[in-house]
Parts: sequence; C-alpha cells; structure tokens
Amino acid sequence: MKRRIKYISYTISLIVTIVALSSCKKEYVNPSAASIPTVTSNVDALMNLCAGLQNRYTIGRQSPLYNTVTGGAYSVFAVKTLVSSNVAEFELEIGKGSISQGNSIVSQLWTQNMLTRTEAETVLENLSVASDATDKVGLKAYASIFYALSMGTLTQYFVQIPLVKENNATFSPRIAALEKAIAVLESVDADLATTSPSSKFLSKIPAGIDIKNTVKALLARYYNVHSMITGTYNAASGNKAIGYASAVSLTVKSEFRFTVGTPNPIGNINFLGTVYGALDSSLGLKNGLAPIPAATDPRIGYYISKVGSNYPFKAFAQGQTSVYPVYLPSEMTLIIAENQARQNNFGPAKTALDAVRTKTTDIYLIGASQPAYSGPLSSTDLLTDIYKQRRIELYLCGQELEDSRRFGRPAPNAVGEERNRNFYPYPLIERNNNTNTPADPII
Amino acid sequence: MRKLTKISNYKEILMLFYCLLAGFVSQSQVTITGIVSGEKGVGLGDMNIVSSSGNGSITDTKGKFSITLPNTGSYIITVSGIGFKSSSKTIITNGKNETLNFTITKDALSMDEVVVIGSSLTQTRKQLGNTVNSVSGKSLANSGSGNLSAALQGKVPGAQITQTSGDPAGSISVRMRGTGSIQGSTEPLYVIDGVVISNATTNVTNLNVNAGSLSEIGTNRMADINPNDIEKIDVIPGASASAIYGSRASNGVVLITTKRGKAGQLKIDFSTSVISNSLRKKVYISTYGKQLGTAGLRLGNISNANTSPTPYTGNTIVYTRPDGAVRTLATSDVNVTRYDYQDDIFQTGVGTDNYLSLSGGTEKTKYFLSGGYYFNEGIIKNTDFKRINLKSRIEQTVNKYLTIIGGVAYSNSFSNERPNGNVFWSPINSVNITNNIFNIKERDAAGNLKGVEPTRVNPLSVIEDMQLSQAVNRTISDIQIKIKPTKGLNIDYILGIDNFSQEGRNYIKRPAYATGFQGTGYVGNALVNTQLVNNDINVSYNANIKKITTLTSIGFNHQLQKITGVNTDGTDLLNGITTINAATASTINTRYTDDSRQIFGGYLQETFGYNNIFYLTIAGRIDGSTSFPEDTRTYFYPKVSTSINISDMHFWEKQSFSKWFNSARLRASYGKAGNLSGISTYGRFSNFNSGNINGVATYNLDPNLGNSAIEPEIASEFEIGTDLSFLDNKIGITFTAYNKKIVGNSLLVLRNLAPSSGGTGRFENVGNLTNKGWELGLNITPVSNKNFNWNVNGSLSRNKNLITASSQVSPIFLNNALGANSFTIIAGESVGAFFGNYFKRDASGNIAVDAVGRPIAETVGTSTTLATKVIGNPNPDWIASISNSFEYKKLSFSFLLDGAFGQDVFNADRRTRQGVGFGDYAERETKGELPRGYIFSIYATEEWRVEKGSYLKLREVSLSYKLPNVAKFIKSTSLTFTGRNLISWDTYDGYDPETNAGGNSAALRGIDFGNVPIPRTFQATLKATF
Repeated sequence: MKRRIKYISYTISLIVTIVALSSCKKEYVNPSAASIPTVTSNVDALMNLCAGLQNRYTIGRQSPLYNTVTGGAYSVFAVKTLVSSNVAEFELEIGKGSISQGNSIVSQLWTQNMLTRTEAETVLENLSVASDATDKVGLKAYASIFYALSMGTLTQYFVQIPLVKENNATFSPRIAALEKAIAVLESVDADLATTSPSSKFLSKIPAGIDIKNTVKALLARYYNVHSMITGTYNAASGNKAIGYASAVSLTVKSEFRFTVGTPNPIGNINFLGTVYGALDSSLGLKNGLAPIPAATDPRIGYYISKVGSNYPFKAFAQGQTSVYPVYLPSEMTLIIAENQARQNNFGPAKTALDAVRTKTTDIYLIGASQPAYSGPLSSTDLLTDIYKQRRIELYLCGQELEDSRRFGRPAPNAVGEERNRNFYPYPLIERNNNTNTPADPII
Repeated sequence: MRKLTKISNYKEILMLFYCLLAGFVSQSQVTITGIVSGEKGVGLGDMNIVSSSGNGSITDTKGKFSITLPNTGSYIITVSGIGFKSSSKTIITNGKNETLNFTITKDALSMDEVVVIGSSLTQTRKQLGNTVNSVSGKSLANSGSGNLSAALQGKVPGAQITQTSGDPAGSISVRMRGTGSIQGSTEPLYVIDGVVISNATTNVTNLNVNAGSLSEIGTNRMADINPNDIEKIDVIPGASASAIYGSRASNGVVLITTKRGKAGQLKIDFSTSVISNSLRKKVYISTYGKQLGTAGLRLGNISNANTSPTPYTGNTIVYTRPDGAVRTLATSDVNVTRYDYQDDIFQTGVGTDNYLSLSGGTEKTKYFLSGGYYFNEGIIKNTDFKRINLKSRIEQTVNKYLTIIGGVAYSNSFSNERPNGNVFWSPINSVNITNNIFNIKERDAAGNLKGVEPTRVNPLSVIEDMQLSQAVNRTISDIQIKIKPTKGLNIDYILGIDNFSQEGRNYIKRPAYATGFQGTGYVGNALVNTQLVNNDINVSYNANIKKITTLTSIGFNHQLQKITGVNTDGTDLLNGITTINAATASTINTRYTDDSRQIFGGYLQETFGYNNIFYLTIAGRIDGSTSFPEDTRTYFYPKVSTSINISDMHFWEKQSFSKWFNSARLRASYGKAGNLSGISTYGRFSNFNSGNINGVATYNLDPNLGNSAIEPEIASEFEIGTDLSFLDNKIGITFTAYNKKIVGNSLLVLRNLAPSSGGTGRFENVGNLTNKGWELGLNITPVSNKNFNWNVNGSLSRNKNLITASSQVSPIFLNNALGANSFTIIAGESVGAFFGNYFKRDASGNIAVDAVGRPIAETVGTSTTLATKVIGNPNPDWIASISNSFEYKKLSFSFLLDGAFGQDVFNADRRTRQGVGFGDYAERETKGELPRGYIFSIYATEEWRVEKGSYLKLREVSLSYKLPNVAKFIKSTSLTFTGRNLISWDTYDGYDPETNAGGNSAALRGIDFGNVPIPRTFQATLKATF
C-alpha cells in the first residue's frame, strides 16, 4: 500500500511538473483580432484596411467627418447647441478662451485624423505586397485620399503638425503638412491616368467614392488652400487649383454612404435632436451676407427646416442613412471663381460664380436660383460673394474655418467678428505625452 | 408508475444512502465520551475534537461528544473551537470505553485557533507573523443578506466592503488595505476548500452601456455562493502573508471553509426565511406647482427663455457666467402639476431563503449534502435574484496513509434586471432626468405608455418594456488527495475546476413614442463561458528536534483560465420578437472574445519554531502569467515573517502583572508579490480589429498599442503588529500597522500616448503607489456567566492611499459613464481622485458669490477658461465597526454598526435634478428664495457635485430565540428576526453614500450616477436541527 501511494505521489508530481514546464512557454494570441503582419503582408487585408479608413474617417461621433463638420460650423456661428450638457460642442459654440484643452472634439479631431493617417501610411508603406498593378493603384489611391483628408483636416485646425509618426514627434508648419498631402495625391493622380483600380479592389471598399474625380477634387481643394496659406496669394498654386477643379467631372457623384448599422454621424445626432442644430435661417452669416428673407434662397430650405425654435438639418445631415458628399460639384466651380478673382480675371471669375448662383439644380438637386452677379467687378467684391456662396452652397462642408481665414473675414474680437477661433489649441493627449508640442494659439 | 413500497420513509432512504456512501468498516474500537465545558461549567457546543489517530468529532449543543479510538494505544485528544484556547489530553486505551472531560478557557485572540493559510495547509495563529482574521459561519448566518460578501460587511478589520448597487444582483466590492492597483483587480483571491474560484464581474446584461473600460458593472460571481454552506472564513489581508498563493493573493486572500460532515449520526439542518426589502430613504423631489418660463420650456432653470416652443412673453434677465456662457432666463413662472416618479418605480420586494443540509458519517467516511433556494425581489419593480444551490462533499479515509476528498457544488442563479445606472434609460436616471410634469401612467388608445419630454424616456417604460436577465449555471468541483507516507510528511494534491456559463438577454422594446434613448429598440444576447482549472500540489514536512520545530513546505500551483464569449446585439426591432432575431440585419453586431491565460508558480517555505515562543518563516516564490511577454514573465518574490510570543516566556508568569495581563505577542512580516492581472490577456500585442462599413468588411488599428516590454506590478508589503489580552482573556486587542507599496516604477496603467506616435494608449509600467495604515481590533467580554453573555467586537482602521510617482504627465483621466474628466490618476493624489472646476473663495474662505448671490466659478486668470484642481477623494480615511451581542438564556440579541469616514462622493444625480427643474435648489430658485440663475451658476462647476460621503450604518440587528423542543427527533429550533441597513447616519444629499456607478472598478470609485440604493431589509428565519 505504502509503495502504491509513493507511486501515486510520484506520478502526480511528474504530471504537474510537465504541465508546469510546458505552460511557461505558452503564447496565447487573440483569435478575435488580426496581428500586424497578417494585415500588412496580405493584399486582401490591405484592401479591408482601406475600407477601414473610411470607417475610421466617417463613422461615429469621434470620427473626423463629425468633428470637422462640427468644428467648422461652430467656428463661424453656423450652428447652436441644443442641450448644454454636450460640453465639447457647447465650448466650441462659445469659442475663444472657452475651448478647454481637454475638449473632446478638439482631441478627436487631432487623434482620429492622426489614426487615419497612420492607417493610410500602413497601406502606402506596404504597397509592394500587391503584385497586380490595378490592385496596387486602388490601394494607393484610396489610402492617398484618406491620407490627404486627414492631413488637410489637421491643417485647417492646427498651426503646426508632426509630419511623420514617431515618439515625441517634432512639429512642422501646417503648410508642410498640406504640401505632403498634395504630393501624395499628385503621385497617385499620375498613376490613375494610366491605370484604373481593379474590380476586385472596388468590390472590397464601400460603394460611393469616385476615386479618380475625388483625387482631382481634393488636389483642387488643397491647392486652393495652399494658394493663400501664407497670407499672400500664390498664383502657381492657384492655377493648379483651377486646373484640377476644371478636370473634375461635375456630373459624377462622390460621396460617403451610410446604413442604419454604420450611420451618418451628423445625421445620427440630428435624428437624436439633442446635440446641435442650425443657428437659424441666417446659417450664421453676418455683416449683411445672410439672404433676407431666407426664403429668397432655396438652398436655406434645402439644408434646414424649422421645428419650434429649433432648426434641424436636412439634406446630407438629415438622417442616419443620408449620404455625405466628399465634395460638391459647386465647390469646384467656386474654386475656379475664387482663383480667377484673386488673379483679377473678373470675366472668368464672374462666369464661374454665376454658374453656381443661377443654377436651378445639380446632381444633388441643389438649386440656387439667384440672379447673376451684379456687383462691382473687383476682386474684393467678387471674393465676398464667392465666400457667401460657399457658406450657403457648401453648408456643413467642414471647411468653414479655413474659408473664413482665407477670405480674410473679421477675426475673433475684431469689429463684426465672423469666427470665434483662428486655430484650435493642441489637445492635452498630445501635449501631455509629447514634449515638442508647441504653445497653444491664443485664439 | 411503480411505487417504491419497500422504502417507505425518509429514514430508510437516508440509511440506504448512508450505507452507499460509507461502505463498510469493521475494526475493534473503543468509544471515548465526555463533555467540553467552559469556565462556568457550561457545556460548549460545536467544539472540534481531534485525536492523533486521525479521528474527529464535534460536541453537541450541551457540550457532549463521543469519539472512537483503536482498541489499544496512546492517543492525544485535542479540543479546539473559535474563541477558545485549545486543550489536549493524552489517553491510553485498553479496550474499554472511557470518559474524558475537558474544561477550556476563553481566548479573546484565538491564538491557538487553527487557521487555513492556503490550500490544505494550516497553522495556529500564534505561529504566524501576519494577520489572519477569522469570521465564523455563525456570524454570517444572521446578517440579513443572501450575499456572502455583504454578510462580511463590518466583520473583517481593515476591509472596506462596499455594496456598490442596491440591485438584488448588484455587485459588492472588497478592498483589503486600500486600493492596491489601478488596472488590475483589487479584489482579494477567493478560495473555497482549497479551490481558487472566480469572483469575476463579467457583464452579459447592459451590453449597450459604456461605463468606461475601467468600470466593472453587474454581478460579481461570489453571488453564486450560498452563505449557509460556510463553516468559517479566514481572511489574509496582505501580500506578505501567503507564499502559497503568491501573486494571485496580492490583494489578500479570502479562504472559505465550507461545512463538512462529522462522524456521528445523520444531522439535518433546516432553515427558512422570509425577507422584505424596501427603500430606506427617498430623495427630495419637488412637487411645487410652478415652472419658470413656459410649460413646454425644458430645463427651465438653466435654458434660454426663447427656446420655449411656445413664445415666452414674460420678463427675462441676462446672466453671463464666468466661463462665458450666457443665458437669457425667464423670471416669471406658470402653473404645472408635478409628480414624484419615485412612487412609480420603487416597490417593497419580498423574498425567501430556504436551506437544508444533511451531514454525518463514520470515522472513515464523512458526507455533507445541502440544497438551498433563495429568491429575493429588488426595490425597483420587476427586479429580482434567484439562486438554487446543491452541494455535496465526501471525505474518505482510505487508510492511515491516504485520504480522498471530493465535492461538487452546483448553483443556478437567475436575475431579472433593469438597465444599469450608467445610462439615462435606467430606472433611477429616467426619474432624475425627466421633468416631473407628465403623468407617466397615461396610455394611448392602444395601451402603450405615452412619451414624456423630447428625447427622454418614460420611467414606466423602463420598468415595463426593458427586460434584462442573466442566467448562470455554475459547478465548482474538486478532488483532493492527501497522502501521509511517513510521520510528519504530508503530500496534498488538489484538482479544482470552476466552470460557469452566463447567458444574458437584453431587450428594449421599440418605444411607441419618439425618444433619444434606444429609440428604435435594442436587443442584445450574450453567452459567456468561464473555466478555471486549478492544480495545486503542496508537500510539507514537520520535524521536531527537542524544543525546535520545523515546517518545510514546497508547492506548485497552476491555473488555466479560459473565458470565451459571444455577444450579439442590434437595433431597429421588429415587434413581437424579443431576441436578436428582432433586429434589422444591418444593425447586428457580433463579437467573439477568447480570454485565455495560464498562471503558475512555485514556492519553498520554511518555518522554524522555538518552544512555542519564537517563530520565523522564510519563503521564496516564483510566479508567472502568460499575459506577460516571455522575457518578463516570471519573477522571484521573497517573504520573511516572525512571531514572538512574549507571554509564553518563563519570566512572564513570575511577573505580578501577568495576573491581569494574560498574553502578549509581537509579529512582523515582509513580503513581495506581483500582480498578474494588471494587463488584459493580449495587452502585449498590437492588433487590427475587424468591423464593417455598410456591410463591407474592415480592418482598423486598435489604437491601444501592444507593449512587448510590459512587466508585472511588484507589490511589497511590510506589517508589524501585536496581540494582547487582559483580565482573564476578557479583553483582547490586536493591532497591525502596514505599508503596502507598488514599487520599482511598476504600477501599470493603460497610459495615454501622443496620437502623433501612431496610437492613443498602451499598457505601461509608469509609477509607484502606497497604502499606509493601521488596523485595531478589539474583543471584550464584559459579562460571561451561565445565563448571560455579553460580547463586544470592534475594529478601527485607517488607510492613506497615494500615488507617489508617475512618469506619465498627469493627470490621467479615467474613462467613465459620465463622460467627465473628473476621475483621475495623478502623482501625489489618491487613486481615482476627483478632479474638476471649483468655486472662487472669498477672504473668509467661503464660496464667493456675485452681487445677487450666485456662486462664482474660478477661472484661469482673466480668461473664461475654468480653473481645475483636485476636488475630492473617494477613498475613506477611516473604517470602523462595532458589534454587541447579548445572550440571556434562550434569547440573544446583537447589533452591528459599520461605517466609513472621510471619503467623498461624486453626486452627479443631485445636480441633474436641479437642472431638470425639480431638485430642492431648483424649487428654491423658482420660488425666488435663491437668485435667478443660481442653478446655471453652479451647473458647470464640478465641485458642486462633490459631497462628503462619510456614513455610519446600523448594518445588522438580530433578535433570536431558541424555541422549546416540541419533538424528540428535533434537536433544536430557533426563531430569528434580523434587520439590515436599517439606519444610515450621513449628511449625503442622495439615496446613499455607499454606492458606486463604477461597480467593482479599482480606480473609478464613489460615483453616484443613477445607482439603485441599498434597501432596508427585514428577515424572519426559522431554523431547526434534526
């Protein structure tokens, strides 16, 4: 008996020791998530990551789409907060010194655009995985579009931006970030001239975005921003903007689409009715720019309705499945008008401006139905009307702060102020973890 | 149906069962009988009798026992029992039955009590260099709670036990010596009869609640354990204590010993209770029939008059708050009818607790079988918790070398819940955030409840149309083999498996009215399987060389943990279906989680003793967890402790003071341990997560990056203490001071990263943490005689929690359901310190007010940016409890006071009630007793939400009467009336300062956000022993 017990105890010890030794080396990996190499070494996975870029950029209240639309609109008084417990939105409404360093919209603008950029870079850095040129151009184009959108959005709100992903990253002036975005887009624009994305690639991304036109439209948009980014007009960039804007087809839609499961982030809060809505039928336009009465401009009624004392959104921000255009055809026309006006080519400027003012509909059924421009043919007057048309035609486009600066609208605290910030402060999550973060702009 | 005619009564069935269990044992033996009595000659029940032959017994209520011994030989018989000094006598048997009586004396400090120190290892308290607090099953029995952790409230010195929710299935958090980690669990390790069990809080209801990654809401699974099954609990509070469990015990160990069969005839214990639960205190909700502005103006105290849907034509004032917010406020009011919705959501809940156990056995075979049925309704309508327990345990002594023990404990728990407090569609929050001017009982023609103000949800919809339930099936089973190959050598092997499945159902019916909260309905189903497999082997060798005793133990533990789950949820529901099948396909989101890890460790421990006077224990342990990278996986943790029993030294007896100063002991202990739960299972890897956009598959980078250099937290703990007794052991004092630290910059947090680095967070070792404090325990027996006993137990403890260093630029904001940056990790502050805006102070230190008397928020310089600082601390400075028990003949009475002092509570609800317009301040502003704009002036200032959370509660009151015997086969019966949480002395402007919306979270503490208050409970119990 005693001997048997000895054997039992030896056996138990042995089993336990074997289990122990084998367990120490065991590596559990998460079966519900993909490791970095499985994504970066596989062309299909990179395509899924491209679809993920659109998810990152457009879905949820933390998304860059929500936050740039929200930031842009609040900065020019175009919207108002419905319930003041939406602290971040409420701070943006007051603006100036009231935007705290911890403001979640500012933090998410920074964070989610940085993450979009990181994901886009992951695709761009691993293009060699694609052996098929048509697959490769699809990956490159889609990643470039979101790379540019993230960098372009950052340049609108922040004075300086780190250009490359690294620990304790150094900051560069925003013009450098914009130029990087332009360079990435131009590179793929050249590729797209000869190669079209494969049908396989197109089947792996959500329908809605017209890749070729979007690359050109974004080049037009960012060259346009670049032309005035130093405060002095750069005609070379302006001409590039005109060139790319003219190359965009005005009859092709390029839009972010949504479903109930992955809803339109602005439509979603409009549907809730508790966050923010339009300020009123002036759309926040000041200093005589607002259409009076509002009904004289059918675009007001196109974009907003009136319920009680509130002005809920319509059109692209109406509901959960409303589409959101990546750009509107009129934006291209107005870019042409703007640069022609800046170059004192008043004829072509007025022609482009009137094309927007007098149209009774377009592919998105936006009709301005305004008389042709009849004001003085001066750069200043034309640009003022072009600004007004942009604010109405491109309501909630997320570019209002850049527009307000570029058109030299009255700054915060100036007489007749038209915006409540020039740039946003750097969010705490960056400042607390990166010693190179520059000082915050005062306003 | 065939009738079992032959076996006609229960005794025969039990006899048959008994025989099956026992087998047949035949050996010539003698029977020793006797009485164990106390100082005044009173027979003492429930005393353990152990003979050196290995046999054991227990005394009956009159102190009588009988034990069988082999025919011839010399045996030592030892009597022990909680609260008494053990006593041993040697008996030489010569074939005759004999009588042996014992008289034992009270031991206020229980120095001779055998305590479990891990797995199957036991030592007497006097041998230990660290604190072990013991709680008997008896003192858990009349607590008025069916939850084990709640029943422990006020009974463990130094433990902060908080019922974080008054839901019948709500969680209860246990903190030993403060919060010892941020990211990891701060709950102690629970071990039942040597088997490590899960106390996890795994959420399968409220799948649509995001209360922050650090919060742990819902039921913690100690709820599955039936307190009626428990014999005794030994609590080791510190990391220095347990080499046996090592790092898993870094927050202390709760060692639970369940009841077991004793040799002798079948014993049947039966008890049945009826329970009643009611709301202890309502919060003030104004029914003053006025509203500022118009009837349709929402948030009338704080919103612009012109946002009224019907034009407001009265006067207004314009108020610009220091943060720049401007309001044009209505100053005239309109008549409204106000209701108190609390009356519509609360109820008096009733319940029942029934228990039956059968135990007995022979010297060789002992069995214990029990069953329980517990059902309890909550104080929120349509909430309840049901638990069915079945337990069996068999112990077989095969021969003098080998004993085999096995047990199975099954439980089925089922709870009906309502949405959790962390959302506005919960019962309490729907009341808090909905203006009370609607008759919420009104229905439309189709019988549907009508809506209330825009975006809000009718509180009755929460009660009627939101159904959440959780079903848990759990089995804890074990096999234990004890081998004694030679004298002094013990080999114990325990295989324990804790296995449970949780099914959660969440259904929010599509409302018949427009609401911003789950307006298209919501459905979620979750299935989670948890499996813990524990292998423990311990070998100990006891050798005595003259006056020197040595105990060498070596052991190894291994735990395999596998938790897998499927969560599916969706919205946009079809009517008539209440599962995921109701959801629109494009909204359905399914997640599968697999959380697998292994934890393993081994130790070597050596205890030297000299003549019962001096003990020294030295131990070393290696621990590892597969959650950490291979390079940092295993660490060595040393421990050393000593105990000096001064009063056992020869000089003591000779001193005159020894007449009243009975015993004195000094002890000290130092040890290190890791915290293996500090990171999530896969926290060392960077990953891409899957998702979809418009039904197209996506990958996205998980912005919480992996850290391949992560290390376990290293905790060190030093404690020193003394145990003293006076006046014939009528007064016992224990005192322990400790310093518990996370050292070596190893404190783990999910720290923020600069987004420009490519992610937003990562687990990192960033700092140090300390918990310094002391614990004082007091046990006094002022009167003890044949008819009357009076016993007083008290404890007082102090703890100071401090983050002493952090390499992360502070503060780290903790994600929470309030969405406020108010809960933080800051070097130089306590874990979870409240952070936020505050009021300007005037010269005399009072809150500064403007010309009309509105408080002024402090701003940075002349800007409109609100200034921030630490404004509160959720960690109590003091924890105290005192219990008194009186026994007079057959009547006994006891009460327990339990309190925590010095902590703050972040009372979000109080402020919400003011903004919505029916709080006490809102009423005063409406009446003109406060200046117009007052609520708006305090609304953005977090300091207004921080309140003193100190409380003292009448935790338990119990009156018990031993009924006269009505029949011969009934050994004893008693009737007990118990009250629980009857009174709370506090200044808190809410339901109860003992609460936490973060549930069992380590770092999110003291948050009152829609939490269900703890009920006042009455219970009547009838107990009988057959």
